Amino acid sequence: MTPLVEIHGLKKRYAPKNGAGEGNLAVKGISLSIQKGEIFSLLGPNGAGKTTTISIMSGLIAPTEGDVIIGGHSITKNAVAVKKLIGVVPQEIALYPELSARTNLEFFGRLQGLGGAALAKRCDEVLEFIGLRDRQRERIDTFSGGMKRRVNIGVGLLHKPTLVFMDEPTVGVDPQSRRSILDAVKALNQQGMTVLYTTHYMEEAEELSDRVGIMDHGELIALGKQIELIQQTGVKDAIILKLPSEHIEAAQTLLRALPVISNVEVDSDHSDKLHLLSDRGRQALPHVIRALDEANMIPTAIQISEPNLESVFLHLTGRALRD
Amino acid sequence: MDIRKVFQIILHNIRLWFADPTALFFTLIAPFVLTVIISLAFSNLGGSAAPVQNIPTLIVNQDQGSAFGNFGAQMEAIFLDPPEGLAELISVEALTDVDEARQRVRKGEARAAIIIPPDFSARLNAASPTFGQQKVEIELYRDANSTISPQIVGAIVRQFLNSFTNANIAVSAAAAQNPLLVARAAEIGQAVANAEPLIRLNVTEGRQAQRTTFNALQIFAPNMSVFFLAFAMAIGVVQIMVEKENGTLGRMLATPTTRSTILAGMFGATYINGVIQLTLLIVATSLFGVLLGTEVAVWGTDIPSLALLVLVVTAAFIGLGTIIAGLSKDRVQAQVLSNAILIVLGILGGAFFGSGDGSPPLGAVSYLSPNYWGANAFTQLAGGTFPATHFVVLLSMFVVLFSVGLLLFSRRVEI
Repeated sequence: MTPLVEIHGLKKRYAPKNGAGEGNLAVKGISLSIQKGEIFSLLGPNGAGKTTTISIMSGLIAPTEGDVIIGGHSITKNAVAVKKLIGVVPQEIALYPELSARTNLEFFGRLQGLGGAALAKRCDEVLEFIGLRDRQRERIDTFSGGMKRRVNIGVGLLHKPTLVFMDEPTVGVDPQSRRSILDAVKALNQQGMTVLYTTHYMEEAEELSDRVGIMDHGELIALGKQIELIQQTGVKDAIILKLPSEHIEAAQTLLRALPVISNVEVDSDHSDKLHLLSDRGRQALPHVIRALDEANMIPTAIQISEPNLESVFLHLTGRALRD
Repeated sequence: MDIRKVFQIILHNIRLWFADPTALFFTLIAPFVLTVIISLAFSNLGGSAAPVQNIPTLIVNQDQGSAFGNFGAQMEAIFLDPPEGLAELISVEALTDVDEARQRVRKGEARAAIIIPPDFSARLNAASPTFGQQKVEIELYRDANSTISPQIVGAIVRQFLNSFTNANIAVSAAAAQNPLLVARAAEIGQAVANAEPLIRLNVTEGRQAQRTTFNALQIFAPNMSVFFLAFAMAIGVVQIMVEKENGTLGRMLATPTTRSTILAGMFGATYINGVIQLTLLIVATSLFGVLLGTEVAVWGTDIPSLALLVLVVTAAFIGLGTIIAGLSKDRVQAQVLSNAILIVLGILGGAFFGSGDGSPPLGAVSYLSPNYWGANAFTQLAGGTFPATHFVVLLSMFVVLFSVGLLLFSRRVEI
């Protein structure tokens, strides 16, 4: 099946700030594809090149090298055709604060080519979707941050795009609004919309994504389904047990003998804690509990730590995602 | 380029303009108030004198008289020594040279000239066999740039002629007591009674007039209007940079709308805002001039030329705003730079101390300022001359400044 999006060797070097030197190479030749109907997340810290990539894909800036093909159209050769297929939700609130929510929608809708009854109908539908139909006539500058975010998303959905770019749409919003936005992304995807979602929040990428691309310093350092990426790292699940200090040594010996456990170490900071490593932590846990019970050793606390995208990023870069 | 979308962007920007009361205040109300204050400060427009009085009027009596008398002399005498009521309204000076009279009207030194032809009395000879067959023309040569005063003079002349015509001729004929006419008294009386009004008032205008003096409102209304127009245009162009910073420009660019369409819409909106601002200021200051009873129309009476000047002056200033924005690194620098440059250009152009004769207020250095060319163009037009040189200079400024500015500006905002 032909992918909806194909990115080939994409590079972007910005002009040098002082006119001297080569300028910052923000995107260093990334290539990837996105299938129709999937939610694809670009995960990476601030400055990784995610927004630059989306800006090129949206036709806002020209690539230095490479190309993006969306729906069979090249962004460098036929940007207008590409822009008919995409909806863009920028990171900042790109609205006119002195105008009402509906007037904002109507203006951008007209630039999308909508008009008349079709525009009015779509505005109604979008306002319903973002939950602001009853406040559509109020000025944007009277809205809360979360409400502005919702209108910001709504503008990108007016023309029912095949592909929607969401560039860090939850930055600076309260937990309730974040939940609402994430649910909206899922709902859009269920309606058949393909979503390219950029974030530096690992939890969002994990919750939403069919596939993830991890970017750092302008490079795509990992690409695939979450489970595949985690397996690639070789990072094991960790079971952390808290036991009375007098049982630690015996428990260590006992648990090392279990075949489901690959390693047991005493926590370097807390002498009453044991770190057990396993390929499958949740399945190993009953074996661990049973063995301790038979030896009359009752753990006072149990915690399972499974590798996640944060672990993948740490494994690949040696840094935490939020460093 | 999608013209429909260009208009949508223009309408959207005008809507934004009207949604911001502060912008409206600074682009419309503040310029008008300052224009009025400065004009009042530099003139006696606010005095308590009657709005229209002592209208400077010239009379040239070329009438050579006839056997029945000299009707031209009678008319001249009435104007030179007007009855009570008229005496305060007009101030009449007698001249002998028609060309000199016309010249003085054209220069704005008099509002109108009444020119009595050489055969005025001869054609009014009721005893002549050709009496009534030829009309007699009195010419009222009026200042094309004045509205009220020439009309007042014309009304006085018409009133005089209406009462003068048939009755006066009959009286004159009788008064002549010429024995030769006694036998023809009935015939003459019948001819006079049947005659249609014989005297026609022919009003001509000094259209090519070159005024050399102007009132304060004619100087300061254009100066202040152009001064504020310059700021409005600079703010309009800088607003495009603000839209880039706010992300709305990027959002527009992400729609299937070409960059040229978006730029045309945004610059078009700024241009139309400028035209609206200047037009409203022209209307407001003109009405203010009428309220104060100014002798001449503040912006002149040549409406098509005035409209043309509004378009070209606004264009010149959008060019200036574009090049300032193009030279600026960012919005803040553009705002600082435009404030500094526009104040200097305003001073050079005479925004605060326009010269009473419309000449460059600071000599040759004023020629560097588009403010001078813009404001002086309006003043020249108000004086009755279409400022062709100014027009060409302003148009050239627009072409050069806008072209270079757009090139620089497009690089700055990556559009």
